[in-house]
Amino acid sequence: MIRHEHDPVRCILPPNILERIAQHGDADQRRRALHTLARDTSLRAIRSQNAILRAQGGKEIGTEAPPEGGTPQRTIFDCATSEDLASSTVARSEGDGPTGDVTVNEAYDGLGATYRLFWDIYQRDSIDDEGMPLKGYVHYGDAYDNAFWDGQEMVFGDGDGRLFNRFTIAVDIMGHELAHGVTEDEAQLVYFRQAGALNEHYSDVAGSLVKQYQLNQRADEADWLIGAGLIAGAEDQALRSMKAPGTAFDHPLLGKDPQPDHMDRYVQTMEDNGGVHINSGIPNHAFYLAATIIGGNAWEVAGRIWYETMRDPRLKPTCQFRTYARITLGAAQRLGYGTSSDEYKAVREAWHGVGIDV
Amino acid sequence: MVVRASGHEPIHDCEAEPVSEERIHIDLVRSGGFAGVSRRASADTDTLPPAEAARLAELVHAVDFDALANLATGPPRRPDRFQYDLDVREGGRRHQLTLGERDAPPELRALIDHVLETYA
Repeated sequence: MIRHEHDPVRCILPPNILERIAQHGDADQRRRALHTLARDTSLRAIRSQNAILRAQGGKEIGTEAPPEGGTPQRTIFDCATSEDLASSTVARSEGDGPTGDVTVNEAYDGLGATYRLFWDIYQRDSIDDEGMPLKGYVHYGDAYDNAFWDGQEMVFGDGDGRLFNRFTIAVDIMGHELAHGVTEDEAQLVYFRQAGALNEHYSDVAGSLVKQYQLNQRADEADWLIGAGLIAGAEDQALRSMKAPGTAFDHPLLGKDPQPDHMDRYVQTMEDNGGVHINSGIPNHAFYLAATIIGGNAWEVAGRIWYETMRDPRLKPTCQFRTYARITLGAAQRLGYGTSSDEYKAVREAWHGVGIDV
Repeated sequence: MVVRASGHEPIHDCEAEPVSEERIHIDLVRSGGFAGVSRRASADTDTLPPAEAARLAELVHAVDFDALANLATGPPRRPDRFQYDLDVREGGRRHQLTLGERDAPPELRALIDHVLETYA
Protein backbone atom coordinates (compact mmCIF):
# COMPACT_ATOMS: atom_id res chain seq x y z
CA MET A 1 0.00 0.00 0.00
CA ILE A 2 1.44 3.34 -0.96
CA ARG A 3 1.19 6.10 1.59
CA HIS A 4 2.05 9.69 0.94
CA GLU A 5 2.13 12.39 3.57
CA HIS A 6 2.00 15.17 1.01
CA ASP A 7 -0.24 16.01 -1.92
CA PRO A 8 0.42 13.55 -4.76
CA VAL A 9 0.06 16.31 -7.31
CA ARG A 10 3.37 17.74 -6.12
CA CYS A 11 5.00 14.41 -7.01
CA ILE A 12 3.23 13.98 -10.30
CA LEU A 13 2.83 10.24 -10.06
CA PRO A 14 2.49 8.55 -13.40
CA PRO A 15 -1.07 7.69 -14.42
CA ASN A 16 -0.70 3.94 -14.02
CA ILE A 17 0.26 4.29 -10.35
CA LEU A 18 -2.51 6.78 -9.78
CA GLU A 19 -4.95 4.31 -11.28
CA ARG A 20 -3.76 1.57 -8.96
CA ILE A 21 -4.22 3.90 -5.99
CA ALA A 22 -7.66 4.78 -7.28
CA GLN A 23 -8.53 1.08 -7.34
CA HIS A 24 -6.75 -0.21 -4.23
CA GLY A 25 -5.97 2.72 -1.93
CA ASP A 26 -7.85 3.77 1.19
CA ALA A 27 -10.66 6.32 0.86
CA ASP A 28 -8.43 9.32 1.25
CA GLN A 29 -5.83 8.03 -1.23
CA ARG A 30 -8.49 7.10 -3.74
CA ARG A 31 -10.01 10.57 -3.52
CA ARG A 32 -6.68 12.24 -4.09
CA ALA A 33 -5.66 9.91 -6.90
CA LEU A 34 -8.95 10.29 -8.71
CA HIS A 35 -8.71 14.03 -8.27
CA THR A 36 -5.26 14.02 -9.79
CA LEU A 37 -6.15 11.76 -12.67
CA ALA A 38 -9.17 13.84 -13.47
CA ARG A 39 -7.03 16.91 -13.49
CA ASP A 40 -4.90 15.63 -16.42
CA THR A 41 -1.24 15.92 -15.65
CA SER A 42 -0.24 17.25 -19.06
CA LEU A 43 1.97 20.30 -18.83
CA ARG A 44 -0.48 22.33 -20.83
CA ALA A 45 -3.31 21.64 -18.39
CA ILE A 46 -1.09 22.45 -15.45
CA ARG A 47 -0.08 25.71 -17.06
CA SER A 48 -3.67 26.73 -17.63
CA GLN A 49 -4.49 25.67 -14.10
CA ASN A 50 -1.64 27.83 -12.90
CA ALA A 51 -2.98 30.74 -14.85
CA ILE A 52 -6.30 30.34 -13.10
CA LEU A 53 -4.71 29.93 -9.70
CA ARG A 54 -2.50 32.96 -10.23
CA ALA A 55 -5.55 35.00 -11.05
CA GLN A 56 -7.20 33.85 -7.85
CA GLY A 57 -4.07 34.44 -5.80
CA GLY A 58 -3.72 30.73 -5.10
CA LYS A 59 -0.62 28.60 -4.94
CA GLU A 60 0.51 27.15 -8.21
CA ILE A 61 0.83 23.47 -8.96
CA GLY A 62 4.43 22.38 -9.11
CA THR A 63 5.88 19.91 -11.53
CA GLU A 64 8.88 17.66 -11.32
CA ALA A 65 10.24 18.46 -14.74
CA PRO A 66 10.70 22.14 -15.61
CA PRO A 67 8.69 23.23 -18.62
CA GLU A 68 10.59 22.84 -21.86
CA GLY A 69 11.10 25.71 -24.19
CA GLY A 70 11.98 29.29 -23.48
CA THR A 71 14.40 29.80 -26.33
CA PRO A 72 13.45 30.79 -29.85
CA GLN A 73 15.06 29.10 -32.84
CA ARG A 74 15.32 31.88 -35.38
CA THR A 75 16.71 31.83 -38.88
CA ILE A 76 16.57 34.86 -41.15
CA PHE A 77 16.87 34.23 -44.89
CA ASP A 78 17.81 36.80 -47.52
CA CYS A 79 15.75 36.48 -50.71
CA ALA A 80 17.80 39.14 -52.51
CA THR A 81 14.67 40.46 -54.29
CA SER A 82 13.61 37.04 -55.56
CA GLU A 83 10.15 35.64 -54.83
CA ASP A 84 11.53 32.13 -54.78
CA LEU A 85 12.07 31.30 -51.10
CA ALA A 86 14.15 28.28 -52.05
CA SER A 87 16.76 30.54 -53.63
CA SER A 88 17.37 32.48 -50.42
CA THR A 89 20.53 32.33 -48.33
CA VAL A 90 20.87 32.22 -44.55
CA ALA A 91 21.58 35.71 -43.28
CA ARG A 92 21.42 35.20 -39.53
CA SER A 93 20.95 32.16 -37.32
CA GLU A 94 19.89 31.87 -33.69
CA GLY A 95 22.59 33.21 -31.45
CA ASP A 96 24.45 35.09 -34.19
CA GLY A 97 25.25 38.73 -33.54
CA PRO A 98 23.82 41.57 -35.62
CA THR A 99 24.81 41.70 -39.28
CA GLY A 100 25.32 44.78 -41.40
CA ASP A 101 21.79 44.46 -42.79
CA VAL A 102 19.28 46.45 -40.75
CA THR A 103 16.34 44.51 -42.24
CA VAL A 104 17.85 41.19 -41.19
CA ASN A 105 18.46 42.51 -37.69
CA GLU A 106 14.96 43.96 -37.36
CA ALA A 107 13.41 40.65 -38.42
CA TYR A 108 15.63 38.73 -35.99
CA ASP A 109 14.84 41.09 -33.12
CA GLY A 110 11.14 41.31 -33.96
CA LEU A 111 10.66 37.55 -34.04
CA GLY A 112 12.56 37.30 -30.79
CA ALA A 113 10.42 39.96 -29.12
CA THR A 114 7.27 38.16 -30.25
CA TYR A 115 8.57 34.83 -29.00
CA ARG A 116 9.35 36.43 -25.64
CA LEU A 117 5.89 37.91 -25.18
CA PHE A 118 4.22 34.57 -25.82
CA TRP A 119 6.70 32.62 -23.67
CA ASP A 120 7.11 35.02 -20.73
CA ILE A 121 3.45 35.93 -20.37
CA TYR A 122 1.47 33.04 -21.85
CA GLN A 123 3.99 30.18 -21.51
CA ARG A 124 3.57 29.48 -25.18
CA ASP A 125 6.64 27.94 -26.81
CA SER A 126 6.63 29.48 -30.28
CA ILE A 127 3.92 29.42 -32.92
CA ASP A 128 2.77 25.86 -32.28
CA ASP A 129 3.54 25.80 -28.57
CA GLU A 130 6.09 23.10 -29.32
CA GLY A 131 9.12 25.19 -30.17
CA MET A 132 8.47 25.57 -33.89
CA PRO A 133 11.51 27.20 -35.52
CA LEU A 134 10.88 30.79 -36.54
CA LYS A 135 11.84 31.43 -40.13
CA GLY A 136 11.83 34.97 -41.50
CA TYR A 137 12.46 35.78 -45.15
CA VAL A 138 13.52 39.33 -45.93
CA HIS A 139 14.20 41.28 -49.14
CA TYR A 140 11.39 39.27 -50.71
CA GLY A 141 10.53 40.41 -54.21
CA ASP A 142 11.37 43.59 -56.03
CA ALA A 143 10.06 46.67 -54.17
CA TYR A 144 7.42 44.40 -52.69
CA ASP A 145 4.86 46.37 -50.69
CA ASN A 146 3.85 43.65 -48.28
CA ALA A 147 4.56 41.09 -45.57
CA PHE A 148 2.77 37.82 -44.90
CA TRP A 149 2.62 34.47 -43.12
CA ASP A 150 2.40 31.58 -45.57
CA GLY A 151 1.67 28.72 -43.20
CA GLN A 152 5.30 27.94 -42.40
CA GLU A 153 7.32 31.12 -42.47
CA MET A 154 7.08 34.88 -42.33
CA VAL A 155 7.98 36.90 -45.39
CA PHE A 156 8.85 40.60 -45.59
CA GLY A 157 9.19 42.92 -48.57
CA ASP A 158 11.34 46.02 -48.79
CA GLY A 159 8.53 48.31 -49.88
CA ASP A 160 8.74 50.42 -53.01
CA GLY A 161 10.03 53.48 -51.17
CA ARG A 162 7.29 55.61 -52.68
CA LEU A 163 4.34 54.24 -50.73
CA PHE A 164 5.96 52.01 -48.15
CA ASN A 165 9.24 51.56 -46.36
CA ARG A 166 10.60 48.14 -45.47
CA PHE A 167 8.11 45.88 -43.71
CA THR A 168 10.42 45.10 -40.81
CA ILE A 169 10.44 48.71 -39.70
CA ALA A 170 7.89 48.22 -36.90
CA VAL A 171 8.09 45.38 -34.37
CA ASP A 172 4.32 44.98 -34.39
CA ILE A 173 4.50 43.86 -38.02
CA MET A 174 6.62 40.87 -37.05
CA GLY A 175 4.29 40.19 -34.14
CA HIS A 176 1.30 40.41 -36.45
CA GLU A 177 2.69 37.86 -38.91
CA LEU A 178 3.86 35.40 -36.27
CA ALA A 179 0.44 35.62 -34.60
CA HIS A 180 -1.20 34.46 -37.84
CA GLY A 181 0.67 31.24 -37.20
CA VAL A 182 -0.64 31.08 -33.65
CA THR A 183 -4.19 31.64 -34.87
CA GLU A 184 -3.74 28.96 -37.51
CA ASP A 185 -2.52 26.58 -34.80
CA GLU A 186 -5.23 27.33 -32.25
CA ALA A 187 -8.40 28.52 -33.92
CA GLN A 188 -8.09 28.24 -37.72
CA LEU A 189 -10.26 31.33 -38.17
CA VAL A 190 -11.24 31.41 -41.83
CA TYR A 191 -9.68 34.42 -43.55
CA PHE A 192 -12.92 35.84 -44.86
CA ARG A 193 -15.43 38.43 -43.62
CA GLN A 194 -16.03 38.52 -39.84
CA ALA A 195 -14.02 35.40 -38.99
CA GLY A 196 -11.19 36.78 -41.08
CA ALA A 197 -11.46 40.16 -39.39
CA LEU A 198 -11.11 38.34 -36.06
CA ASN A 199 -8.05 36.57 -37.44
CA GLU A 200 -6.63 39.95 -38.43
CA HIS A 201 -7.67 41.41 -35.10
CA TYR A 202 -5.74 38.90 -33.03
CA SER A 203 -2.65 39.56 -35.13
CA ASP A 204 -2.96 43.27 -34.39
CA VAL A 205 -3.52 42.53 -30.69
CA ALA A 206 -0.40 40.40 -30.61
CA GLY A 207 1.60 42.94 -32.60
CA SER A 208 0.61 45.79 -30.32
CA LEU A 209 1.30 43.76 -27.18
CA VAL A 210 4.76 42.82 -28.45
CA LYS A 211 5.54 46.50 -28.84
CA GLN A 212 4.03 47.46 -25.49
CA TYR A 213 5.86 44.64 -23.71
CA GLN A 214 9.12 45.62 -25.35
CA LEU A 215 8.65 49.23 -24.23
CA ASN A 216 7.20 48.18 -20.85
CA GLN A 217 4.21 50.46 -21.37
CA ARG A 218 0.93 50.60 -19.52
CA ALA A 219 -2.19 50.51 -21.65
CA ASP A 220 -2.66 54.25 -21.21
CA GLU A 221 0.94 54.94 -22.26
CA ALA A 222 0.87 52.92 -25.49
CA ASP A 223 0.14 54.52 -28.86
CA TRP A 224 -1.91 51.52 -30.00
CA LEU A 225 -0.68 52.02 -33.56
CA ILE A 226 0.08 49.24 -36.02
CA GLY A 227 2.73 49.84 -38.67
CA ALA A 228 3.94 53.21 -37.44
CA GLY A 229 6.70 54.47 -39.70
CA LEU A 230 5.79 52.18 -42.57
CA ILE A 231 4.33 54.81 -44.90
CA ALA A 232 7.10 56.39 -46.94
CA GLY A 233 7.36 60.13 -46.43
CA ALA A 234 4.74 60.00 -43.67
CA GLU A 235 6.54 58.11 -40.98
CA ASP A 236 4.57 59.92 -38.28
CA GLN A 237 1.47 58.11 -39.56
CA ALA A 238 0.58 54.44 -39.15
CA LEU A 239 -1.52 51.83 -40.92
CA ARG A 240 -4.03 51.16 -38.18
CA SER A 241 -5.02 52.56 -34.82
CA MET A 242 -6.67 50.38 -32.22
CA LYS A 243 -7.34 53.44 -30.11
CA ALA A 244 -8.96 55.44 -32.92
CA PRO A 245 -9.71 53.30 -35.97
CA GLY A 246 -10.09 55.44 -39.08
CA THR A 247 -7.48 58.01 -38.07
CA ALA A 248 -4.18 56.20 -38.60
CA PHE A 249 -3.38 57.67 -42.00
CA ASP A 250 -4.58 60.27 -44.48
CA HIS A 251 -2.34 60.21 -47.51
CA PRO A 252 -2.54 61.57 -51.07
CA LEU A 253 -1.76 58.19 -52.65
CA LEU A 254 -3.12 55.74 -50.08
CA GLY A 255 -6.25 57.67 -49.25
CA LYS A 256 -7.75 57.69 -45.79
CA ASP A 257 -7.72 54.97 -43.13
CA PRO A 258 -10.92 53.02 -43.94
CA GLN A 259 -11.36 51.27 -40.60
CA PRO A 260 -14.63 51.53 -38.64
CA ASP A 261 -14.63 51.70 -34.85
CA HIS A 262 -18.20 50.50 -34.37
CA MET A 263 -20.60 47.90 -35.78
CA ASP A 264 -22.80 50.71 -37.09
CA ARG A 265 -20.04 51.43 -39.58
CA TYR A 266 -19.22 47.81 -40.52
CA VAL A 267 -17.97 47.75 -44.11
CA GLN A 268 -19.59 45.32 -46.53
CA THR A 269 -17.14 44.60 -49.29
CA MET A 270 -15.76 41.72 -51.32
CA GLU A 271 -12.35 43.35 -51.53
CA ASP A 272 -9.69 42.35 -49.05
CA ASN A 273 -11.21 38.93 -48.47
CA GLY A 274 -14.43 40.55 -47.37
CA GLY A 275 -12.77 43.46 -45.58
CA VAL A 276 -10.66 41.56 -43.05
CA HIS A 277 -8.15 44.41 -42.59
CA ILE A 278 -10.97 46.95 -42.50
CA ASN A 279 -13.48 45.51 -40.06
CA SER A 280 -10.75 44.31 -37.70
CA GLY A 281 -10.95 47.90 -36.44
CA ILE A 282 -14.09 47.01 -34.51
CA PRO A 283 -12.68 44.21 -32.30
CA ASN A 284 -9.36 46.09 -32.19
CA HIS A 285 -11.12 49.01 -30.58
CA ALA A 286 -12.90 46.69 -28.15
CA PHE A 287 -9.56 45.28 -27.01
CA TYR A 288 -8.17 48.80 -26.57
CA LEU A 289 -11.22 49.74 -24.47
CA ALA A 290 -10.99 46.62 -22.34
CA ALA A 291 -7.28 47.09 -21.72
CA THR A 292 -7.56 50.76 -20.83
CA ILE A 293 -10.63 50.35 -18.63
CA ILE A 294 -8.87 47.55 -16.72
CA GLY A 295 -5.64 49.54 -16.55
CA GLY A 296 -2.09 48.39 -15.98
CA ASN A 297 -0.23 46.44 -18.65
CA ALA A 298 -2.49 45.37 -21.50
CA TRP A 299 -0.78 41.98 -21.85
CA GLU A 300 -1.58 40.96 -18.25
CA VAL A 301 -5.36 40.77 -18.03
CA ALA A 302 -6.90 41.79 -21.34
CA GLY A 303 -4.14 40.03 -23.28
CA ARG A 304 -4.55 36.92 -21.17
CA ILE A 305 -8.30 36.86 -21.67
CA TRP A 306 -7.85 37.24 -25.41
CA TYR A 307 -5.19 34.52 -25.56
CA GLU A 308 -7.45 32.12 -23.67
CA THR A 309 -10.20 33.04 -26.09
CA MET A 310 -8.06 31.97 -29.05
CA ARG A 311 -7.50 28.62 -27.33
CA ASP A 312 -11.14 28.05 -26.44
CA PRO A 313 -12.58 25.00 -28.26
CA ARG A 314 -15.82 26.92 -28.67
CA LEU A 315 -14.02 29.33 -31.00
CA LYS A 316 -14.92 27.91 -34.39
CA PRO A 317 -13.25 28.72 -37.72
CA THR A 318 -16.31 30.67 -38.89
CA CYS A 319 -16.82 32.58 -35.64
CA GLN A 320 -18.59 35.91 -35.89
CA PHE A 321 -17.93 39.02 -33.77
CA ARG A 322 -20.77 38.48 -31.34
CA THR A 323 -19.85 34.90 -30.52
CA TYR A 324 -16.22 35.91 -30.14
CA ALA A 325 -17.28 38.57 -27.66
CA ARG A 326 -19.23 35.98 -25.67
CA ILE A 327 -16.21 33.70 -25.64
CA THR A 328 -14.00 36.50 -24.28
CA LEU A 329 -16.45 36.81 -21.38
CA GLY A 330 -16.30 33.08 -20.82
CA ALA A 331 -12.53 33.20 -20.92
CA ALA A 332 -12.51 35.98 -18.36
CA GLN A 333 -14.62 33.87 -16.03
CA ARG A 334 -12.38 30.85 -16.49
CA LEU A 335 -9.41 32.98 -15.54
CA GLY A 336 -11.15 33.87 -12.31
CA TYR A 337 -12.81 37.15 -13.27
CA GLY A 338 -16.40 36.43 -12.35
CA THR A 339 -19.40 38.33 -13.60
CA SER A 340 -19.24 40.84 -10.74
CA SER A 341 -15.52 41.52 -11.18
CA ASP A 342 -14.20 44.78 -12.57
CA GLU A 343 -12.34 42.89 -15.28
CA TYR A 344 -15.42 41.05 -16.55
CA LYS A 345 -17.43 44.25 -16.57
CA ALA A 346 -14.64 46.02 -18.45
CA VAL A 347 -14.69 43.43 -21.21
CA ARG A 348 -18.46 43.64 -21.46
CA GLU A 349 -18.37 47.42 -21.54
CA ALA A 350 -15.67 47.31 -24.21
CA TRP A 351 -17.85 45.23 -26.53
CA HIS A 352 -20.80 47.51 -25.87
CA GLY A 353 -18.53 50.40 -26.82
CA VAL A 354 -18.21 49.02 -30.34
CA GLY A 355 -21.87 48.16 -30.67
CA ILE A 356 -21.79 44.47 -29.76
CA ASP A 357 -24.24 43.71 -26.98
CA VAL A 358 -23.20 40.80 -24.82
CA MET B 1 -23.86 50.60 -64.30
CA VAL B 2 -25.30 47.18 -64.86
CA VAL B 3 -29.01 46.76 -65.48
CA ARG B 4 -30.21 43.38 -64.33
CA ALA B 5 -33.54 41.63 -64.72
CA SER B 6 -34.44 40.41 -61.22
CA GLY B 7 -31.13 38.79 -60.40
CA HIS B 8 -30.40 37.18 -63.75
CA GLU B 9 -27.76 37.93 -66.36
CA PRO B 10 -27.32 41.61 -67.18
CA ILE B 11 -29.52 42.71 -70.05
CA HIS B 12 -27.50 45.80 -70.75
CA ASP B 13 -24.18 46.87 -69.30
CA CYS B 14 -23.94 50.60 -69.99
CA GLU B 15 -20.20 50.86 -69.36
CA ALA B 16 -18.97 47.54 -70.73
CA GLU B 17 -19.86 47.71 -74.38
CA PRO B 18 -17.91 45.15 -76.37
CA VAL B 19 -14.59 46.61 -77.50
CA SER B 20 -13.30 46.39 -81.05
CA GLU B 21 -10.91 43.67 -82.08
CA GLU B 22 -7.81 45.72 -81.31
CA ARG B 23 -9.01 47.68 -78.32
CA ILE B 24 -8.18 46.53 -74.81
CA HIS B 25 -9.72 47.86 -71.62
CA ILE B 26 -8.56 46.76 -68.18
CA ASP B 27 -9.85 47.60 -64.71
CA LEU B 28 -7.83 46.35 -61.79
CA VAL B 29 -8.18 46.44 -58.00
CA ARG B 30 -5.45 45.15 -55.72
CA SER B 31 -6.75 44.85 -52.16
CA GLY B 32 -5.68 43.17 -48.97
CA GLY B 33 -2.03 42.76 -48.08
CA PHE B 34 -0.80 43.61 -44.61
CA ALA B 35 -1.65 47.26 -45.18
CA GLY B 36 -5.19 46.43 -46.31
CA VAL B 37 -5.16 49.36 -48.72
CA SER B 38 -6.98 49.01 -52.03
CA ARG B 39 -5.28 50.33 -55.12
CA ARG B 40 -7.21 50.80 -58.36
CA ALA B 41 -6.01 51.26 -61.91
CA SER B 42 -7.58 51.37 -65.34
CA ALA B 43 -6.10 51.49 -68.81
CA ASP B 44 -7.57 51.61 -72.29
CA THR B 45 -5.55 51.21 -75.46
CA ASP B 46 -7.82 53.73 -77.17
CA THR B 47 -6.49 56.47 -74.92
CA LEU B 48 -2.82 55.47 -74.86
CA PRO B 49 0.06 56.47 -77.11
CA PRO B 50 0.84 53.68 -79.61
CA ALA B 51 3.93 52.34 -77.87
CA GLU B 52 2.17 52.09 -74.54
CA ALA B 53 -0.90 50.56 -76.13
CA ALA B 54 1.27 47.96 -77.79
CA ARG B 55 3.01 47.16 -74.50
CA LEU B 56 -0.33 46.71 -72.75
CA ALA B 57 -1.64 44.52 -75.56
CA GLU B 58 1.50 42.38 -75.44
CA LEU B 59 1.08 41.78 -71.71
CA VAL B 60 -2.63 41.02 -71.99
CA HIS B 61 -2.18 38.59 -74.86
CA ALA B 62 0.47 36.68 -72.89
CA VAL B 63 -2.15 35.68 -70.31
CA ASP B 64 -4.26 32.56 -70.82
CA PHE B 65 -7.48 33.82 -69.24
CA ASP B 66 -9.37 30.67 -70.06
CA ALA B 67 -6.90 28.58 -68.08
CA LEU B 68 -7.24 30.99 -65.17
CA ALA B 69 -11.00 30.70 -65.04
CA ASN B 70 -10.82 27.70 -62.69
CA LEU B 71 -8.30 29.32 -60.36
CA ALA B 72 -9.92 32.70 -60.16
CA THR B 73 -12.87 31.63 -58.08
CA GLY B 74 -12.83 34.26 -55.40
CA PRO B 75 -10.91 35.93 -52.59
CA PRO B 76 -7.78 33.91 -51.80
CA ARG B 77 -8.25 33.82 -48.01
CA ARG B 78 -4.54 33.68 -47.21
CA PRO B 79 -3.18 35.88 -44.40
CA ASP B 80 -1.98 39.27 -45.64
CA ARG B 81 -1.68 38.19 -49.29
CA PHE B 82 -2.94 40.50 -52.01
CA GLN B 83 -6.30 39.95 -53.68
CA TYR B 84 -6.58 40.91 -57.36
CA ASP B 85 -9.89 41.74 -59.01
CA LEU B 86 -9.53 42.12 -62.78
CA ASP B 87 -11.96 43.07 -65.50
CA VAL B 88 -10.35 42.74 -68.93
CA ARG B 89 -12.08 43.36 -72.24
CA GLU B 90 -10.18 42.41 -75.37
CA GLY B 91 -10.96 41.05 -78.78
CA GLY B 92 -14.67 41.19 -78.12
CA ARG B 93 -14.27 39.03 -75.03
CA ARG B 94 -14.55 39.86 -71.38
CA HIS B 95 -12.61 38.23 -68.53
CA GLN B 96 -13.55 38.90 -64.92
CA LEU B 97 -11.48 37.23 -62.24
CA THR B 98 -10.74 37.40 -58.53
CA LEU B 99 -7.66 35.58 -57.28
CA GLY B 100 -4.77 35.75 -54.86
CA GLU B 101 -1.19 36.70 -55.58
CA ARG B 102 -0.03 33.18 -54.87
CA ASP B 103 -2.25 31.82 -57.62
CA ALA B 104 -1.32 34.43 -60.22
CA PRO B 105 1.06 33.00 -62.84
CA PRO B 106 4.09 35.12 -63.82
CA GLU B 107 2.54 36.54 -66.97
CA LEU B 108 -0.53 37.70 -65.07
CA ARG B 109 1.69 39.22 -62.39
CA ALA B 110 3.62 41.04 -65.08
CA LEU B 111 0.39 42.54 -66.44
CA ILE B 112 -0.90 43.47 -62.97
CA ASP B 113 2.37 45.01 -61.82
CA HIS B 114 2.69 47.00 -65.04
CA VAL B 115 -0.84 48.38 -64.81
CA LEU B 116 -0.45 49.27 -61.13
CA GLU B 117 2.92 50.91 -61.59
CA THR B 118 1.89 52.88 -64.66
CA TYR B 119 -1.79 53.72 -64.22
CA ALA B 120 -2.61 53.64 -60.49
